[in-house]
Amino acid sequence: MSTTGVESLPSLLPEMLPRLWAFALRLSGNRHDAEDVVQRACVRGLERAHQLQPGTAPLSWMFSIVHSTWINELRARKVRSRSSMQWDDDFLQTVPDPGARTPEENLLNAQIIEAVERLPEAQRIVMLLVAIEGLSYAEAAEVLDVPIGTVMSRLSRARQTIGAQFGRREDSVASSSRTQRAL
Amino acid sequence: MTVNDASLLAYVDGELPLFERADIENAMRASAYTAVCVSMLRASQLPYAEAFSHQALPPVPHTLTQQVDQLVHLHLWSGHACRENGDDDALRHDAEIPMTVTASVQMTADNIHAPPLRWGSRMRMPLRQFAAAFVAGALCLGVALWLTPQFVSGTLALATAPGSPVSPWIAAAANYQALYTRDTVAQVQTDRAAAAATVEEIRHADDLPLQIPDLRNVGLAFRRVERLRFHDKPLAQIVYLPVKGRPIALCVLKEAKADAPPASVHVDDMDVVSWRRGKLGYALIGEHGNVDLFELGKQIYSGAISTTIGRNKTEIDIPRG
Repeated sequence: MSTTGVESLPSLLPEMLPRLWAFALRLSGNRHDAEDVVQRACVRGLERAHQLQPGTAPLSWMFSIVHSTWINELRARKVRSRSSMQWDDDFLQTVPDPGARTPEENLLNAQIIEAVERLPEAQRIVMLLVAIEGLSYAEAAEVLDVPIGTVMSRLSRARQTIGAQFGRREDSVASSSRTQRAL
Repeated sequence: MTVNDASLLAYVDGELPLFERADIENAMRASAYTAVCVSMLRASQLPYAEAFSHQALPPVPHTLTQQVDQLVHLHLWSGHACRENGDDDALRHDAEIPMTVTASVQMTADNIHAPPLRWGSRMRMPLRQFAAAFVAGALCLGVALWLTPQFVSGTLALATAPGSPVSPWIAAAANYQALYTRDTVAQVQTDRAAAAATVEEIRHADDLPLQIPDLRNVGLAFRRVERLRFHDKPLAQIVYLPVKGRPIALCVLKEAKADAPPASVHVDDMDVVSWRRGKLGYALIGEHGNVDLFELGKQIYSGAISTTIGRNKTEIDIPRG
């Protein structure tokens, strides 16, 4: 992820907004919370813009602020995760995407998203940062304020859980295919 | 090498050097469990980013885009103003003021009741943090406008009506007000006792003889009163919600000058009617077009509007919105 001068954060913020919005939506699960999270994070980011170190990617720094803002809110509400809260399923439905080339691709996309959404919260957030947002392990560790080994461990467990689901799915497809051939 | 979740992931993703790969392969031969883990990790090599890029998400809300633009604008503006003036003092205050504001606003923020399971932070956030951002910017802004009047014609200038000079505190208050949406204020449940207590603080701690006009007759429901500061001077903000459109604020600051009748100006897209009476400066601020602010300002100036809180020490009569 590219790094930029400290003074450029204000000018980069509007351009980052769609990615901050998507991350906040996926974190919180509803648009009202997402809007509040992003608003607060932008205020905090601008207030602390002078603390952004050269060499730190402004986007991952803002992800960090979005994440900590959301965690603080969860703590304030005394809930442990979004699973205890109102969840707006409307925007999480994976609708048939005209950009996808085949129905199989649509199905695969939906299954991947569903598998990630079902992960335990800590693993899900690491997946969002690394596999979806494209952060490095080190950047994700900075965002979450945890050691890099913790990021890799959570990611590995998340991937094993997903792999178990997709492994079964492939076994099932292969078995079905063998059965059809036998008939 | 220790074989663990992290090293297995690195192995599957091809991030281990050759000599460490051998350790993993030995471990897989020795342990069926390890072999299964690797198998699951291999099965998890999927196009995640591609899949999520097709997820149907709602677009960035227009209000959010506007608010972030305003914040960035204010941030750049305050930095520009401070640099223009080489005002180290303003910069020092810039660092100090957010704490002051947060502390003073905290007193009222705790009295605002947000709906359950909602941040209500369209309420709380502007109170605590937009206020801090506002005052940090406003300090520099004030210095810039007083010392360098030409600043108003610069790229970061206020859009004011030609020939209508705007006091710095009014310009800053109008920009602050522009950050509020209707939802911000509509979610506030007016707390009678808290508002009365805030007015008492304003009257005694801030030495501002504040009264809250009762504007129900013109369709404006009182929502809350806040203590803010501008240039270290107390600034009271009374917020009303009209029947439709964005909130309207009546801001009050001490101004030891002669009385002046209401006059209209524009600050960006906000209408402002300002006047002075009894050593107090007033600014009635709202979105253009929804309410006849000039007529309303004239009525308040002439004393034709009754007041609710602030008539005396004990009377509490906040109308319900």
